[in-house]
Amino acid sequence: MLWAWERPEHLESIDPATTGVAFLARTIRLAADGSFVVVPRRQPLAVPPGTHLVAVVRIESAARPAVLAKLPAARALAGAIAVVARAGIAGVQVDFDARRSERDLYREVLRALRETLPPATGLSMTALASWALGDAWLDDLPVDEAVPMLFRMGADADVVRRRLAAGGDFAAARARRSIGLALDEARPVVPPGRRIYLFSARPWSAGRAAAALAEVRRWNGSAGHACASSS
Amino acid sequence: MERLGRPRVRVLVLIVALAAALGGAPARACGPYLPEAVFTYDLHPDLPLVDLAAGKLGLLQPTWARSYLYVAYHQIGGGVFDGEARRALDGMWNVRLGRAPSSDVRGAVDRWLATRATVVGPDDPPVIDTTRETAPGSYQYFDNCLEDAFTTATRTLAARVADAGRDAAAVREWVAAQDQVFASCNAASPSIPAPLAETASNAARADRAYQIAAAEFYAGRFEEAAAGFRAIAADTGSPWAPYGTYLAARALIRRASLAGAGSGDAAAAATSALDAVLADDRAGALHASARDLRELVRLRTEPEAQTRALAAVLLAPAQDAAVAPHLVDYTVLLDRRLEASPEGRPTGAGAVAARDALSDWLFTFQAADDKAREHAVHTWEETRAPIWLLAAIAKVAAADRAGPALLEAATALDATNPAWPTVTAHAGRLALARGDHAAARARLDALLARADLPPGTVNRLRGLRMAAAETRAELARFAVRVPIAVTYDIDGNELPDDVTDNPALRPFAAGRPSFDRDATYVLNRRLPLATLAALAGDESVDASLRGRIAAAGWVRAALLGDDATLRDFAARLATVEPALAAPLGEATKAAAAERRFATSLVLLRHPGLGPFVRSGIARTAVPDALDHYRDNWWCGAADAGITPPDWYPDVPLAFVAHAERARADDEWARLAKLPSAATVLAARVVAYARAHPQDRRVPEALHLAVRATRFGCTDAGSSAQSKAAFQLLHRGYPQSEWAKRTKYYF
Repeated sequence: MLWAWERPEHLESIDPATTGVAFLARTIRLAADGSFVVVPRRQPLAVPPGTHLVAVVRIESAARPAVLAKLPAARALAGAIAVVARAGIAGVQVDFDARRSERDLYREVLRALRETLPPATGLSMTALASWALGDAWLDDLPVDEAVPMLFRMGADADVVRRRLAAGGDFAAARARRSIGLALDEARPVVPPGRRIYLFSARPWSAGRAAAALAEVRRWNGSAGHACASSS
Repeated sequence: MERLGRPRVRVLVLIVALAAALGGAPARACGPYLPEAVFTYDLHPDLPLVDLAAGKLGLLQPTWARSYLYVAYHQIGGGVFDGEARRALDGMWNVRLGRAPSSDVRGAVDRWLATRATVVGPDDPPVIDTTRETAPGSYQYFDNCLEDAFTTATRTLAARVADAGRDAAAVREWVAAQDQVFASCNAASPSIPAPLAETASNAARADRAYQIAAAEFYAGRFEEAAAGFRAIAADTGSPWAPYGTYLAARALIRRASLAGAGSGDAAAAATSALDAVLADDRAGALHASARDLRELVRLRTEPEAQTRALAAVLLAPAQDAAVAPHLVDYTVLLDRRLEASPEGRPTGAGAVAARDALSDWLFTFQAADDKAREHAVHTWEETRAPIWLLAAIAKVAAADRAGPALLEAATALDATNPAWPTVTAHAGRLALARGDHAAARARLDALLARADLPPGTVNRLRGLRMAAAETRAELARFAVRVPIAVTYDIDGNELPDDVTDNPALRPFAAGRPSFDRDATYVLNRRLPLATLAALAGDESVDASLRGRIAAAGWVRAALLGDDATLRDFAARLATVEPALAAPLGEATKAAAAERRFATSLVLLRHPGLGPFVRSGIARTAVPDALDHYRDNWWCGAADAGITPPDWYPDVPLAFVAHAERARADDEWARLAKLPSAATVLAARVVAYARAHPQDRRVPEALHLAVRATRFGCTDAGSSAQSKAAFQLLHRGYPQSEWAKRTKYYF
């Protein structure tokens, strides 16, 4: 899976039989007063017909200070996310680096979202490496996968890399189905059988995508796995 | 459908936001977001930003957004921004940084729904999504219904209620039709109100015709919308007639914007319609907006020509409020040009290819390649203009042939020139790089004597001045800086956060001094322990910073086995870190045979200690507590990030003698050979435990050693030490509380 972020992304060259695209569909900004603003994708996205598409909704706090005084209603938030699940969308991925104080909200949002989404639509979430390492809160979330983000990890980087290098794995079962990597960071040891999400700090080009996918094939034995569903 | 009446600046900015595919937002690192102290902004000048437009340029950074650099360029060339221009620029920057909303469309929607509720009641209000996909399946959205559309609807409904009463059937029908209009903002299929029967009043039919055309417009049926608006323009009895031609042009422009390439016919038709508006004296109120739209068409159809035209407009000596929309358009065009270039960023080649002076300078100043440096020097040699002196001297290194001439020109530059601070700062840097510390000090001291420099500039200059320090006292003086912001930087815009509720961060936002990265680089890498000890006792330095130096120095001395300096640091800690003085002092006094173990044990008990002086906010958890984000102990020297910032001239410090430099290098080399904290401390504890199994402190030390391999920075050797400590603990002290608390090794 290639993450296509908020910038013009031209991915017409990918092979939809082997490679999917998780594109940022909208960003939801939480305000301190419990309201939120939805910012839909503004940039073009080009993919070949039949591409496995996952619509990513990023949630971020626009509040300063960073802790929200009041949290929004979970159902309203889930509703704002669910609208991206249209025809042609195989899954929805939520990208929310929730603070500890926001976890209950996040859990409720995911539950409401699961109830709202069509049964065939996969529900995915990104996961901070620290969550995936051993944080039990991932265990009861109604998601099909939690994608450990193995880049920009900060203080967790050494621990994660060492654990994976030693043959270890993430504690949460949902975090053992896929892995998120960035092109501009050294790759940790990746356990076999994972769906690979690739992030590029610069817009994808045909060359960049081809090189990245060839690299994945080289060490992973396949181009990330065809994505019949996001679960 | 929105009508006119908003300030012109706002209108154009909104239009550009709609029509232009702006550069993508910078890719953001994912969380966790950790607070950091900012000493000098990289992305923008100091706040308030309006100070830049008022002539307080400070030290220009090539990493600033181009809109700021333009404002600096213009003033260095003698241009001025009047009060309106400054306010307009400030507003535009604050919108771009997310400090102010670009529009209040949600507020306008809420006001519309509230007014609507007075007629049809508050139940089941329609869900209004103001954005629309550019094409089905494109997943790319644009703002389809703008703030003014809802404001106009609110105003119109209030007028109709005032005329006919809120219970009038015509008013209710108008609301129902307006619901269809706004449903068209996002509906997958058109929701077009039906025409009214001939029996309806002329006024109601005129309103309905306008609603139909507006709904066609929002539904993306632009030909039908344009035809409808043209018909409205021809209906002299319609209150909407004055807007008909203009709105028809808008429909054609939106069609062209969404169609992208190959839409020249629509653009030409729109231009023709706008010319008609501009030629119509009765439409005088629309002329300003019509001219804006014509500019928009040109942005799309003639980007190169429009870039040159906007650059020329922006370089007119006196600027007014129109500078903001012009600058938005100009920088959007530059962004597009860079996005389309192979490198995706400014280069010297791109600067040379630029066809206007402003773009040439902006790209040259921002580019980091040799071609840009050569071009800057060459252009300065040709023009001798201060703005090119600035670009050239900012780029040259010590050995550059142009160095002497640039230094001479910097000396000759009038101190009242807005370029003087940047030119003088780089002259100081260049002098330093060429080994002339005295000249560097003279230039930088003259600059620092000015009272009108932004605090971020002062911090950066103090860094340069520190590099030129003649004495240790000078180094101590200039190493200390006051942060200009504390930020989590969640939005990537490098803006201060309000941290008044956080007792650990609040002091830094309120002016507590700290070290920037250049200072900690020097302290950690360029000074021997003895000099660090002297600095730890220098009462001119803030006590908390002396505490940082003393604690790091103590750890370093313990690791390097320098017992004399260890005692020296322990003594310093008594006054500046009383909480650490007792435990570290006790370990310091341990008998020589067990001192290594004693110091290791106290370090294992204090995850906040390490051998490197820390910059910025340092560590917010107390020294004897684990940090939630695993900021515990230290990594190996190679991984500790002890490197000079890009801007710092890492020249030998004048007051550090050759022998001291050699000692600093030797200490660093020995430190660099040590593994990470977890490994080295665990290894020392394991070795002591094997030799002194009867020592009552051993079980705790072994437990803490295992803990360090879990929560600290680790390396290839950590796991073996973790296992060894674990096995010693469980085999030697199986019934101890410490063994029970140690269930795994890592």
